[in-house]
Amino acid sequence: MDRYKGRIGAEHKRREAKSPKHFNLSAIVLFCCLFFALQTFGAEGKEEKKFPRAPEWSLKDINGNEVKLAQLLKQGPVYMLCWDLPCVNCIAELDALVPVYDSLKERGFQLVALSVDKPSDEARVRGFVKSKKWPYIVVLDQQQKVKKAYNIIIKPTAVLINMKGEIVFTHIGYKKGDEKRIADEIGKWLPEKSEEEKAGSTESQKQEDKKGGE
Amino acid sequence: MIAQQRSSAEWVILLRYCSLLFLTTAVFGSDFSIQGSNRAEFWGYETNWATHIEDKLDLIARYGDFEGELGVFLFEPSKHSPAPRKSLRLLDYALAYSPEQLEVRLGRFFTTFGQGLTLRTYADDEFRHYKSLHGLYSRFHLPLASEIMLLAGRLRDVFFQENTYKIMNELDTTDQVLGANLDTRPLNFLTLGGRYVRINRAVDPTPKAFTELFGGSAAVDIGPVTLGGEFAWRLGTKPGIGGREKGFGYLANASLALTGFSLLGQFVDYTGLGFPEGVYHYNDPPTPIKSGVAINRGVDERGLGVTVSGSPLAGLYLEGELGRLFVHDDSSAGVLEAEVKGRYGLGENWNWEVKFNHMLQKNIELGTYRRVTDRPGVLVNFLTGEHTFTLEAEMGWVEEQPTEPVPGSIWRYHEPLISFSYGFGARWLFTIGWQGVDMDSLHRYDNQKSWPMFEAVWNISERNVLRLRIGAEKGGYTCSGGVCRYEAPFRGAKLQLISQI
Repeated sequence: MDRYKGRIGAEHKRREAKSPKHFNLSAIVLFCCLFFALQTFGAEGKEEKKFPRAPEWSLKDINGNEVKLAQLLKQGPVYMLCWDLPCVNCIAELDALVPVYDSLKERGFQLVALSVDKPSDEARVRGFVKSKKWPYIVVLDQQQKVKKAYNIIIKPTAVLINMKGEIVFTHIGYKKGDEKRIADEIGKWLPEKSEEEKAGSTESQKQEDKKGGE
Repeated sequence: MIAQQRSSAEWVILLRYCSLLFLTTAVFGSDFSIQGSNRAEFWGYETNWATHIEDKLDLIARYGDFEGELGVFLFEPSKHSPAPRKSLRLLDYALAYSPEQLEVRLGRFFTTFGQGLTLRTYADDEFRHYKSLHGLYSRFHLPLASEIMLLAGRLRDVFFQENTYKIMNELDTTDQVLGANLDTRPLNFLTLGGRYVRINRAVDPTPKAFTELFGGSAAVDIGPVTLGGEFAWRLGTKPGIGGREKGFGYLANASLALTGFSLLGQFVDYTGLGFPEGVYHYNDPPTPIKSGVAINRGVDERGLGVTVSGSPLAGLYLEGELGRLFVHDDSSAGVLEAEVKGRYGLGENWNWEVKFNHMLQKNIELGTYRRVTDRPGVLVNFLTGEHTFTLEAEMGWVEEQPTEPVPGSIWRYHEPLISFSYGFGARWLFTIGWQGVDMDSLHRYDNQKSWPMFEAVWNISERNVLRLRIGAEKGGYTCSGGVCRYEAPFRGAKLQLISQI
């Protein structure tokens, strides 16, 4: 049991006495200026690049494999969804996205379920994911480093990262039917089909048309 | 770098550091990126117009395999704040180089060995608990999905409670930790781990009187069954007074996962694995209690937990949890928690959740010998188009037996809670709520019995969230992941702006 009543130690009083009070205000003003300058700077950058860059990360998945965002982006766009065990809507969204993932994975689409549960819940997460049989990658962000880097406050929050490593779509919360809109957004960022794939799809289209004609 | 009161010279360093970031951005152009977040808070107290200002800025600059981190934390209560005026300013940095198969980091970092029996540092913004390491850290990836981590640094544990804070190892300024951790997977179904931690403390009687921890772990994953375990063995001296001290702790878990059904069992047993109460924790032994209550963390605890969950019908999810934690003599202190929960999605628009929580705590909270709570609750969620309506209600029946002033007397009272939320898309969320008690038995709440509140959350953009809360907060004894503290009651207004940079 941790109970620590706050108290001011002698060392702290000594430091406080030495503290240059006159500098406090200017330091805070400087800090605020820096913050707004960064906001402005960020906005300018956004106009040029159009989309904010996705922070890079490297995490272990539930099987102990190292997963890097940069590696995943070489295959296709990544939809990263932040979730944890108590989040009902997160689990509902992850369930609903299974058919979306199955239909788009052939085109390089990657879905990453970012678990922000604590290390003590690792066994629970493993058991839960196994029972769900989710086909996508589940990574463990136990220090919540990625969650913070992406400024995720509400769960579920998901970001779609294009192959250039830019956040092109953010989805906060979940309600039934959202997966259709998500699938549409993902579709915009899938890599172009190769000539063989195009030929294959044209052929199948012709066959369908033929069947329709008959 | 640890600092509470920044001198002007240190703020100049901050200015230079930030200028350098801007300059580098200009030089390297699009290959260079700066990202981060800022959380600014302003509190105004109703009673005496005292105020509280807090800001946490984290910036990460990246260029190729290089990374630089800057963290600024300001905690500024005003004069006449309910707690003693004690401001805090922290300025942290980290520099990292992480090409393929390697990561080297200098400065502040957070890490966990295994499940935390030997070492765990973290930053919990929701619970406001910051345990960090300051030094050098390196991580190497090897074949067989193996990874070695080596670290050397100083520990810092900043713990907030009742509107003030304490740096747990403030007086023990030479705390140093050395650590090594190896995780490997020699076979697809087998994961092994080994770890070592050594802690040198200023209060140790001799330089040789350091504390050592040896740990190991194993997990077997075959089909639907997973078996795992972790242990740690501690050798050291009693802080301050000397004398040999040994400790040992382990946890074991087993899980069965079938389609739509999972069963998990956990057992923990810790003796002398952590420093005694009141001294900072370098480790974080998991608790099997779902609500995060611990008794005597890592020092004297034994417990078990069982979780069953399943979806027997489409849209229906059921979950049951039972956790028990007690000290080894099994009579002086303990916790028992049982919870059942059911969720059902009715059609396209309705979601229902009902739950029942039973908790028994014995000698957990100061002044309370025994406390039993039964807490049924319901949550109804209705969605239509962009509109979301949520109703949450809970009733707590409490039976409490105090340690003082009249041993043997029993108090019975109620703790109701109700809230209603309306959300418009992902942009707006409004909540009105009320909490109450019909008896303030231990004067936890300054004789207050009613806490109404209103909250508005505005997602200004994808990068900015503004949250305004007006009303009262009950406070009281709260726990998260085995760490418990007293939260001060609050009446007034809180404004919070969270921004992504």
